[in-house]
Amino acid sequence: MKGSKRFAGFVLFLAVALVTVWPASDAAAQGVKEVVIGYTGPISGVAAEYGQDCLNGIAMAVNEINPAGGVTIKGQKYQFKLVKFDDMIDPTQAVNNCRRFRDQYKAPAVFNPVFNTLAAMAKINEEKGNEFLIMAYTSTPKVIGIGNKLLAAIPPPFTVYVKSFADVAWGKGWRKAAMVVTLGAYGDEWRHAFKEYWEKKGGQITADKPANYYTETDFSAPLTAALATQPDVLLIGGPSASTALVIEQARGLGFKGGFILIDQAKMDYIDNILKGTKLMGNTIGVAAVALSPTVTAPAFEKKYKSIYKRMLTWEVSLNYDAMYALSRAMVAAGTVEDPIAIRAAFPKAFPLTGDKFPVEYWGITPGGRMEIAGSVQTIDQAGKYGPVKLVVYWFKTEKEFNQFTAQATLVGNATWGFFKFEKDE
Amino acid sequence: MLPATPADGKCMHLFLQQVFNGVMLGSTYAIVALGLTLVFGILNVPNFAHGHLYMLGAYVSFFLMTLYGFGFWTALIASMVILALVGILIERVVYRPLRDKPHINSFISAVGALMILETSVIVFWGPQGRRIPNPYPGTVELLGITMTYQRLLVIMAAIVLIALLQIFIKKTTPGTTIEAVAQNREGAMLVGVNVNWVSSLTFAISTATAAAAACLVAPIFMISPTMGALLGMKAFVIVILGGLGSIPGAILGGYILGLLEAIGGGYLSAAYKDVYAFGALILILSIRPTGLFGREVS
Repeated sequence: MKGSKRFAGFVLFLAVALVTVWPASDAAAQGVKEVVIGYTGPISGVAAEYGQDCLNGIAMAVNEINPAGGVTIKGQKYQFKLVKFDDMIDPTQAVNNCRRFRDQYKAPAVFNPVFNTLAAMAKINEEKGNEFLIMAYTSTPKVIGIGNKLLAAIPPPFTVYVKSFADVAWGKGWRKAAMVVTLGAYGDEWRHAFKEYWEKKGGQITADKPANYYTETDFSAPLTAALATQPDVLLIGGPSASTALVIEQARGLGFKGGFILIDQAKMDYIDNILKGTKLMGNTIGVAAVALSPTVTAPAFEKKYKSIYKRMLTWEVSLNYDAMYALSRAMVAAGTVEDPIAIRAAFPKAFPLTGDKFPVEYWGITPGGRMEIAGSVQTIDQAGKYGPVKLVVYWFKTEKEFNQFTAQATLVGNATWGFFKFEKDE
Repeated sequence: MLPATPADGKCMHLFLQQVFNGVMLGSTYAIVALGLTLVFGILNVPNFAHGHLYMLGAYVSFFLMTLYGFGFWTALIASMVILALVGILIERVVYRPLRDKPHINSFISAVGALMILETSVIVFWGPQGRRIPNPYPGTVELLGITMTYQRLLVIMAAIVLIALLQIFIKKTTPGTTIEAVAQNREGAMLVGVNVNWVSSLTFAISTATAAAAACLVAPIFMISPTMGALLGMKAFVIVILGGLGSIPGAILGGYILGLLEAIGGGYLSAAYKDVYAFGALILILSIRPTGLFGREVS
């Protein structure tokens, strides 16, 4: 009898202790609610670095938005909480992660940076009652082709780069191109798009030897085979680190021609790995993100480096912008919970201009791609960077484009370029 | 670029270039497999973490060079010594307590060890790839094939390393005790060989050679936390291919696999590079179930 009394006393004591010690979260104390934003992507494994960069960009934006007061909707204050799950580029895992975001956290939006996983996620995000918005960091045109109503794509479509790069290469007098591009859906599409455009121009593809940029480090076998066809230019690319190895190994095999880098590979990153542009003479690729012609870009780079002690990449800047676009869309929609309303309000989130953002966004296409210009740059024979060219693709006419450039400002010696796209990519 | 010679000469050059590529690749495979066959074939320990110790060797060398200003060769030697100690530690902590337990136990702890190694490297040093500066940049042209000095160096160093190891095992007393334990564990114990000591020694040699291989190729490739995973798997393929515990088998198997990948990758498609390795394994085992140099097991 005495024992059970003592036990009851102990339970009571525990209960009191729990109630008093239980951490009252700051947010709840001030009547602020929390909104979870999901991130599923590669945090470990071969693409971990890429995944981490994307995550850093979103986290940086969240860490700025929250201290600045979060977002206020109908008088209610909200703070963002970024929750990350690793999917190691496995579509099944990505889908499971999304379900967890929905069921456990009621997350209205999930970021993901790989087309293979995005395609799987796009199959479940429109389920009635379980909708969530996909923030898709992929340049693959196919992601728009899916026709998902609750998706916003973040980077420019790579077809902008296919055409821009091919035109620059053509202007240099190169006619014979060989391809040693990364394997997978994204790399395959790039090769096909480039081949089609290059051959339409009258050029020749002398060899097509894709290789696995994620697991391989020795590319001498496909490179030797490609170089035996004596190309003027090599189309290469995948993750930047492996692409650097491909450049080094191609030069090591005696290749003197030019390189076109598909948009996943970034020149500034490769330059950093190869300790300079000595091997990168005559390279065409995506411009260095630090050279983005906005007034905010230099300060943004400095801030990122001081917080994360890492080199700034496009993944960081664009995902940072996209997180801001998402928060603005929520305000415009007047809800943090309804993905359909948030997606519908996306056009009102823009423009994100260069006085506040490292990279400028102008709107969103009807198909769901956020409008950002492709940044094209070349490294000349001597290893010197040329000026940045910003290529826009979302205008239907030359006149609209001219009106746009008249009111948009560029910093430094950057210039505008224009392609008219027949369909939404 | 390959000189523009008549078609026949060009084909020959292309072939020789691919052979050179394959021999370079095969050299690293051979060294890594050699270390694995010592612990796997001789001590009967399925060291799945072998590829990850290879990765650790590259990181140690990287930090010695970038943080402490070591030269390439001193960093390589130091990395071999440090990894030898790590090898001894892993044998003592992970494998020795499981020596007389069912086989599956050491399998599981091997997998545990490799996960700990990979994750620790990601946590401490980040997932990004790193570069060891190339000590011998520059290329040389020989018989129409272009080769970089560092690649030539890998081939030479592999030969030296293999020769030294062979001399050690055949001609020195500590080396012969390893062979004695391999041949007959109880017999070796009866004549006074300290089996624990031999296990430590074997592990030390195995991880040190893995470190050497990693340091040699690091300036050509890139070091990253995942660099050892696939290589470790391939080393297992080579060890099985060459015959369990057979040193000549591991060496030959390494070169065969390197050549297979280079020639298959160059002439057929690099997309299926890993298929060649595992395809060869299945093919050879179906013809010779004990591997190329394997002894019949009673």
